[in-house]
Amino acid sequence: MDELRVSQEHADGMEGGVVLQIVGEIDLATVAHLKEGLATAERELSPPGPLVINLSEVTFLASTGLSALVACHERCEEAGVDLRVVTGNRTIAHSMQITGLTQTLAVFSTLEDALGSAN
Amino acid sequence: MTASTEPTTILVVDDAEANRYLLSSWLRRSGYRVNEAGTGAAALSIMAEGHPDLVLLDVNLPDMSGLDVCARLKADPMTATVPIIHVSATAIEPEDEARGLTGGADAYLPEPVDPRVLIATMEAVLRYYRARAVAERLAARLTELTRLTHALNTATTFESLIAVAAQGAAAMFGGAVTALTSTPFGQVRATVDRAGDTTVDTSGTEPPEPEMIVGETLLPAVVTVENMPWHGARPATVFVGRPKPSLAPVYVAVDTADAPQDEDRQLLLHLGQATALACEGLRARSEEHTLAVTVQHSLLPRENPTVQGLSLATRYVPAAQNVEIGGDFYEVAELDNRVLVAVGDVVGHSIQAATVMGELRHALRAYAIEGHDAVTILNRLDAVVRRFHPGWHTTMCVMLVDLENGTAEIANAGHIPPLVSDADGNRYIDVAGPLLGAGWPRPVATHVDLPPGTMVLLVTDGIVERRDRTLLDGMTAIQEHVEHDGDLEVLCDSLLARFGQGAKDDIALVALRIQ
Repeated sequence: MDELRVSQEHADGMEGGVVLQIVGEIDLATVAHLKEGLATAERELSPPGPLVINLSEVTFLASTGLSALVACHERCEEAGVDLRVVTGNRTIAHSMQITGLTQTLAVFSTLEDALGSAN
Repeated sequence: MTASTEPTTILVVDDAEANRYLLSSWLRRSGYRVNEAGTGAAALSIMAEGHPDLVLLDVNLPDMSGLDVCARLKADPMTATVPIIHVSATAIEPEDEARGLTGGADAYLPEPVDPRVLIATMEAVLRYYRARAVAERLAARLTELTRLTHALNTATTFESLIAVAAQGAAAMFGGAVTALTSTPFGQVRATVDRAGDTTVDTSGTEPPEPEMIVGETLLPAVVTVENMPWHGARPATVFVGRPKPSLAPVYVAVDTADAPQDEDRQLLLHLGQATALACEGLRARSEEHTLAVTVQHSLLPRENPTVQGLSLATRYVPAAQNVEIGGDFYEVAELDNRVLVAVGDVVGHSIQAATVMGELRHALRAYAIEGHDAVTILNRLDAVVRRFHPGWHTTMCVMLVDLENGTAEIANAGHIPPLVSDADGNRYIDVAGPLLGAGWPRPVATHVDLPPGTMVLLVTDGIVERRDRTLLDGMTAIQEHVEHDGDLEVLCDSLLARFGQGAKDDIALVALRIQ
């Protein structure tokens, strides 16, 4: 059964930044929920953010999810917000590599790495 | 319910023989048929074998209380619908009467009973029960009609639709039925005989025009015809209607003897109209489907080109069941001195994805014909997506093969890279870049040598990606499966058979071999 949980957290020492925890499968059925979560998170951001999207517990990432990430990146660029994506497991990392997202997005293996990174 | 030609049967239950005799004589003289029983047990035993239209039940019986007999009869579904009138020789206390009526009896009469009161009470009770039986029968038939309407609307061919209509009418009216209409493909006639066997015949000629049957009467109509040629030349009650004024008429005929009442004719009218409406729906759906398939096929390559120096096999399998196309595409085209080979995948697999795919395919061919290199083509397409289809991110791999020199120039926009297979083994070409629609910079093209005998396979992720298997594992599995020197058509079929089952996304495959 497709299921996606999106929840927002604040990390210590990150004023104006948001951490978005995503758990489950991102596909045509659940991508709307992801987009809602992104929109809510983006409203809480103030430049330079960061917006950290944690995908380490995402078990499936369809092209529609990748598409949503690209669109999010564009909005973050326009707003002057630093977007960081945590890929965690190799499934997600590989998908993002093939589609060329890792070339332009700031991608990290763990949440700690993403939070510790300088702007 | 038809007025019964059978006399009404009454069961008289009373242990006093004289009483029984008196009651029975009155009743027989008044035209009723009478059975008798002297004990509760005898009464129950008679009722178990077949029941009368009404029971006159003495309350005081030697072996059990008449109230218990009544309660037992009312508790058994087989006998619960038979009206019961209690008679009691002893003085009736209000609580006795209340108990009797609560127990299910329809009336409680004291003895000695005036014969006129007895018969009037019996007739009143029977009148109510007959009316209830009529209403229950009508309710059952309407429920049947609703079920039939659903079956009519889910039929996918005219043969099955007309057969369902005829069978439903046969079940409802209990006799032989003929249902008939004509379709763009010819006449369809279904006959159900009295034994319930159905025959469907599509060989006949056009059915008669409605005016020949109904005259000036407006449609839809139910008429009686002395001799209906296509209903076994028997007297028939026929529904005649048109789904729409311009469409072919629908006829449903039953034997007149099976539909004697107004209620029967009304039901036939409803059944016929439901059939006509379902015919209209089916006709509209098949027209739409033909149109959709024609449009969709115009978006895909009509047939693969024959290219000197190249053997080629392709496959296209859309994900959705009732759609012929999705967001995947492939292209093989001969240009001036190169061959364009490409595969692509628009996000999602809806009809909308298919229209975006169609436009990108045309744009790809236009830029390729102009002679641009692979990276420029992708950059131009990137701009097309951003300008005209923002958000419709697309992956695409473009290969320009120079057969004369045995080389190829490849640029990749987020797609699974091509797999090269030759005598040295199978490997994915190292070529990557961002998908189309993001506006991101892309690397220079990759150049590879393709000597004769080399096989190249391009796929879309529908064949590779599953919930339970990662993209990487899928790509590795395909790499291990492919052999460089087999027949290309056989290779495509084996890939689909081995990896393509249960795909949730579209699948496109292009396999080529340099000769």
